[in-house]
Amino acid sequence: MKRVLSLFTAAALSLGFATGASAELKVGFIYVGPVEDLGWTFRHDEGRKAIEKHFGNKVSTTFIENVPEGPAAVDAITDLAETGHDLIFTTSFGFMNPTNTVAANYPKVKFEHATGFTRNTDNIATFSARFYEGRVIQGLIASKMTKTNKIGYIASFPIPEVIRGINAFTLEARKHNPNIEVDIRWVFSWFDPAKEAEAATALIDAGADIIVQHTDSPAPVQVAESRGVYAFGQASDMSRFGPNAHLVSIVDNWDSYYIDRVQAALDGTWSGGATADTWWGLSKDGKGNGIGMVEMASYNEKVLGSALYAEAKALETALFKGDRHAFPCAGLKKQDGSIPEECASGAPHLVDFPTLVTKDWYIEGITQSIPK
Amino acid sequence: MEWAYLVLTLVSVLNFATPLLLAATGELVVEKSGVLNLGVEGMMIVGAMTAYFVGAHIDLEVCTVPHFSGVGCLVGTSSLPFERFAMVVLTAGLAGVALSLLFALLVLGFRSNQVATGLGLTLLGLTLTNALGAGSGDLKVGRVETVLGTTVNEWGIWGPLLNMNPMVWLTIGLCFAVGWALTHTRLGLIIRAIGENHDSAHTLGLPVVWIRLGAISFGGLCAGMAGAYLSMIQIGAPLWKEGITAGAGWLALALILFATWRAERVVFGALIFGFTLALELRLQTLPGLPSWFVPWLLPSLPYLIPIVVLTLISLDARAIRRNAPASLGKLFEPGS
Repeated sequence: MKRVLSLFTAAALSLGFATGASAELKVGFIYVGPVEDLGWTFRHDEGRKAIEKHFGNKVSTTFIENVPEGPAAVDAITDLAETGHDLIFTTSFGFMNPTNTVAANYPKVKFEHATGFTRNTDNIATFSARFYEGRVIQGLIASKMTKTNKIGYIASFPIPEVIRGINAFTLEARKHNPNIEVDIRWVFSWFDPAKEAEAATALIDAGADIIVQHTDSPAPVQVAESRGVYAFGQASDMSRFGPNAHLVSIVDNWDSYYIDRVQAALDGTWSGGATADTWWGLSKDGKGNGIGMVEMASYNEKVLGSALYAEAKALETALFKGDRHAFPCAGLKKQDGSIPEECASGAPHLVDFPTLVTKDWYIEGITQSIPK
Repeated sequence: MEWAYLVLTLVSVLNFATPLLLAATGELVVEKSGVLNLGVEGMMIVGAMTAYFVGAHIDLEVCTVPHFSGVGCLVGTSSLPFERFAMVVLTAGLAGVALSLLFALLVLGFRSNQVATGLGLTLLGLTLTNALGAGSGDLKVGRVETVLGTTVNEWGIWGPLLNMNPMVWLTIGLCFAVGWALTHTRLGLIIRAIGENHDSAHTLGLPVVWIRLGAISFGGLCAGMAGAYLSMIQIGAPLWKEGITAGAGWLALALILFATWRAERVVFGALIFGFTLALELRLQTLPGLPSWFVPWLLPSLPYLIPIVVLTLISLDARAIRRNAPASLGKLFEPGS
């Protein structure tokens, strides 16, 4: 219903009926979930609202929600391109190929794809957050909070972004507590509260006393709360879904990137193409300058205790300033025991490009294998 | 494998089986009276949404923690006492009844095609809830009280099982009771007689239309209440999202074929369906699984197994005929 309405709006705007007709730039968004998923899509929509607030009448925005990943997304993206949008953000990994397809058809429209790595034409840029920096902090906290040494990890799809998170988390957790075992269950969905809840239940049943999720609904935190174990929030602040269970949330913050890119489009300085890939972590430049795309929200100080809270905050600061990297090379091994190529050639830590963008291997210490 | 883990797995199985079983029990009576209502999914989802909305509404006064926007409560922070929860479930059931009466009006009153009307009912339920329920996933609904509360740990490994919502046991009881009533009571005999041959039943002076109206309403009641279980109980905290039933209504319909219209087999079948649903996330960590097993086979098990079993069942046509109501889905035209 909403989708239809937003399409009508888009159509009306393109014909100049609505007030937005005076806007210099029309920005469209493609969402994988509902705006009210309280997680991933919710935060992208906050970014959209930040654009509206920042630019006022100069920019108008439209969104289409619940767009399925894969070929079907081509229609939705084309809808936006066809209705006069100048800049289109597609906000899920599965929109990578569809976005490239449409971008090739509409060379004058600018495209921004979240979390992907393919940029076939000059009118497409990609962006992603170093969410794995947040996973490092979660790994530290989990290693100190677990009593069973079993951590349950709810994973969505076996794509690089998710695998990076699992690796960063496991590496840090096992650094502090080598007995930790990370139990990963795949739900093959970004937003399926019932399945996420069942995954959390299955993990707790198998002995996990801390739940980590890389899915978007608050259901796992709710299950953790009712089962009396701990959990981390994902994508947006989920503390209110489990006042006792929630330890800290990794929150996405797209606001300033979106504003930067819209500004660039207005100024005519926007560029895409082969090298147009932007990654921000806790800080914008990875060296402590500027607010990045990743935030840690609502540390549960009462449950963590002051010592662990201080340790976590210190780690956050070190990551923010770039004093610490999520994947230091010292002692880093792949699951099969081999040493990653760049570590073998003397690098201090794994680098975003090209390793972390595309990597599809687990680190040492994870016993399960990646489903193909 | 520890006993405690088996008990916890049983809890998951029952948790998945209950809404399917409840909806199937209602539909069993409907089909035994000779009517095929394919609108189970639609009635279920309307029930699910109604329960969530009603739960949010009546819970506000016992709310203790204000929501961040200042309106209502935090999700799941206050508890919903049993008597209020019963009211919520009943209201959801009545919403199902309302939808089923629409179906009854069309198929009994206007003698429309049952298959088409039932499909229409499912579409109506899905679109209605999409339109009305969009954006309501963050209403503030209290968590339903549990049986044992904080004493759950005193019951050892049986705690989680005993702590399940009473709807689980009531549903199993209801299904057996319905099976018994269909075979051992006068009303049951009348329902079955009408389902076998509505013309003969009519000739005997049985009120075919009224009995079917009652059966259809009962089906709506059960489907609506099953929906309430989905949105209020299944994930352990109240939850609403569009399309929450995700095919549960269709599984309930398949369950009846699976059970060849026998109540005790419906219970058995629901447990098998629940088992396959619970297995998906529990079998993932078995060592030595081939790489296609986790992403492809496990998620399709709940649908694959019914297909296989239904195929096997339909190999023996007599077994189906023995229990299938002969007038199922046929048009009743008295006096023609």
